[in-house]
Amino acid sequence: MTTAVLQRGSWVEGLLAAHPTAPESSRRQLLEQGLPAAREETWRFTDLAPLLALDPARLQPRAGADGNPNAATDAAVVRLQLDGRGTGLQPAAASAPLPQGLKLEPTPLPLPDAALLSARLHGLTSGPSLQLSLAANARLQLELWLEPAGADALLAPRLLLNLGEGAQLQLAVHLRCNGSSLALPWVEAQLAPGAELTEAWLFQGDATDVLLSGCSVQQAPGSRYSRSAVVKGWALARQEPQVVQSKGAAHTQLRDLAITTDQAVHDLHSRVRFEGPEGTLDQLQKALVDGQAHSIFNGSVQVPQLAQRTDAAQLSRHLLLSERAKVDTKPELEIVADDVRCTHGATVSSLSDEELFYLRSRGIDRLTGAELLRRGFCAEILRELPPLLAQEVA
Amino acid sequence: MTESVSASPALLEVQDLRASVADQEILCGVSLTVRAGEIHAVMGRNGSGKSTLSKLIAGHPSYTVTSGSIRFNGVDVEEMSPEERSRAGLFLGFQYPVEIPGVSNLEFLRVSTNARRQAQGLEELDTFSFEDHLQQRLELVQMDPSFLERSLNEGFSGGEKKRNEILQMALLEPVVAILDETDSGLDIDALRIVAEGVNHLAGPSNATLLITHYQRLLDAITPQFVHVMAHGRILRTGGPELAHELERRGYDWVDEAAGISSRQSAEVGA
Repeated sequence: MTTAVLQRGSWVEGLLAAHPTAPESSRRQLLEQGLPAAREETWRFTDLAPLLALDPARLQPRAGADGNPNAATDAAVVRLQLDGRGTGLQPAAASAPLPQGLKLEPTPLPLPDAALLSARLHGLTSGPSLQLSLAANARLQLELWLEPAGADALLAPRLLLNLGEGAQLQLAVHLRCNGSSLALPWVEAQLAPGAELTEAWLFQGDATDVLLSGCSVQQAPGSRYSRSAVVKGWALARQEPQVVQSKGAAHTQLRDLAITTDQAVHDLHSRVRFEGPEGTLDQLQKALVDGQAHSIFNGSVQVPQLAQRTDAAQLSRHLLLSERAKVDTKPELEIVADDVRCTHGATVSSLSDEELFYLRSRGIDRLTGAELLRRGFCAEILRELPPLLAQEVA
Repeated sequence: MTESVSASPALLEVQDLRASVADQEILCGVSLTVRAGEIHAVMGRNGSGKSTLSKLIAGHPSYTVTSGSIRFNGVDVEEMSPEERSRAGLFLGFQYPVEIPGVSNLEFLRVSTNARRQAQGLEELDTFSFEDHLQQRLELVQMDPSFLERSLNEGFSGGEKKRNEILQMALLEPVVAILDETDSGLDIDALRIVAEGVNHLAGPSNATLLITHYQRLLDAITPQFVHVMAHGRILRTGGPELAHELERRGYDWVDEAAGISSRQSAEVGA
């Protein structure tokens, strides 16, 4: 056995030892499948070293950080934050009353698809959970502030969302870790016909934190799913959103921005599958890559024979700010249907000399000009976020 | 070389300027003096070196001055960065203003205006004061305020971009403005608005250098001096009548008078 395999095995054993009360099925699953190896295609570029650098014995749920970050926002919004133990959610000070159909008890939930590492690790924990069933045509704005106080936190929030016909949910989540922590947010959502789910995520982490985020969304015809996520900081941040349009004829919008510096690894592996005709996808992934950071994008779009008249657009844009920064970008379109419109593009560039000269010719110094260009690159995604989250990025 | 009879101070003095890009010489000894209160026009075919001259004066880093000098307000600008030249009062209106998605036009205008004001020893303008400051200049170029909320030049038509350039010129109040083919891509109405803006901003203490192919801009903005460039040199200098003569006789006539064959010029212009 190689050193790397031994290291991964011992890390898993350490994590299991630290969670002796975890369900047996989850323990077995993690033991059997372990951590992914570099030979696995979907992990080929993603170095797990930052995960292995975390001490599994120290990773525990931590109480929510003090403060009421949401106080200044709209009074009609339901606001939740980590409770005093870090294993549940509680209403924040300025929250609207909890609506019917929202449960915060840590009720056992069915284990998510263990094919994803984030789900396998999630199965061991009893993190804060939220189950929401939104009645037909109901509307709700929900904000979650997930910030454990201090380092060495294991934060594994799980959201189970069920939107009835024509229901609308706007979800904004600020997830922040403060050193040597592991965050495993997991979302499962079912959208009935005509339902609309708009998610905005801001993931902020320290240079020693690890984020493994997963989501599984099922869309009925006529539904709209929009996910905007900004990742800033972290040692390793991997997101794996998976969306299925179960009968097509739905709309999916994915927006991602990674702000990557130092030696961070930011990885987005998305998968959108159309299981019926006339579905649409609008995907934009952007990353600002500085220092010795590594940005990875793999965008899978599956259009089987029955998904005729699918209209899918995918664009990946990287801005390289350092000679030592690295990018691996891979659109992965599997198209069997013959009457479709599927486009993809990928660009990797540095700051434009002509844009910089234009700014400098107006008296703006090089550093300020470069900062304006960096902010401009990010703005396209940041404007999709509610001000509450966008301000945090700035 | 232009020898103005005016006693007004020389604002821009280009002396025997030679320059290259990627080891190819593209300016072969240009000399030009622009004094306060003057409007000059530089005309010539594509590839004659007009735009290169304007970029060199503004400090574009892709071009290397191999000999000669550029003096602005009596100071050699060779060691000055583009931003230092701008803050000192040099303005280049771009032939193709750059689109910068995500950078707010309003924020860009405010940051650049404050950079210039700081160099002038004036107080910087906060967001509210700047909007007041901006209002009358918007009227000068008849620009819809909604353009301020958009990203810099993104999705602007050719005319809107050029109006935005003149708006910047109005805000920066340059000592010398170089307008590189400001008339290209403009319809008649937009040309009139831009020309009115330039005429309004021209005064006894500043100067304007128009780079153009065509007489039509010079019908709206009357220069005192017209220079004709070819082969990286100024071949001929005259008054406004020279532009009319070019319009009538084309550029071959100037080439022949200067002893350059039309074939050579065509090669340069290609």
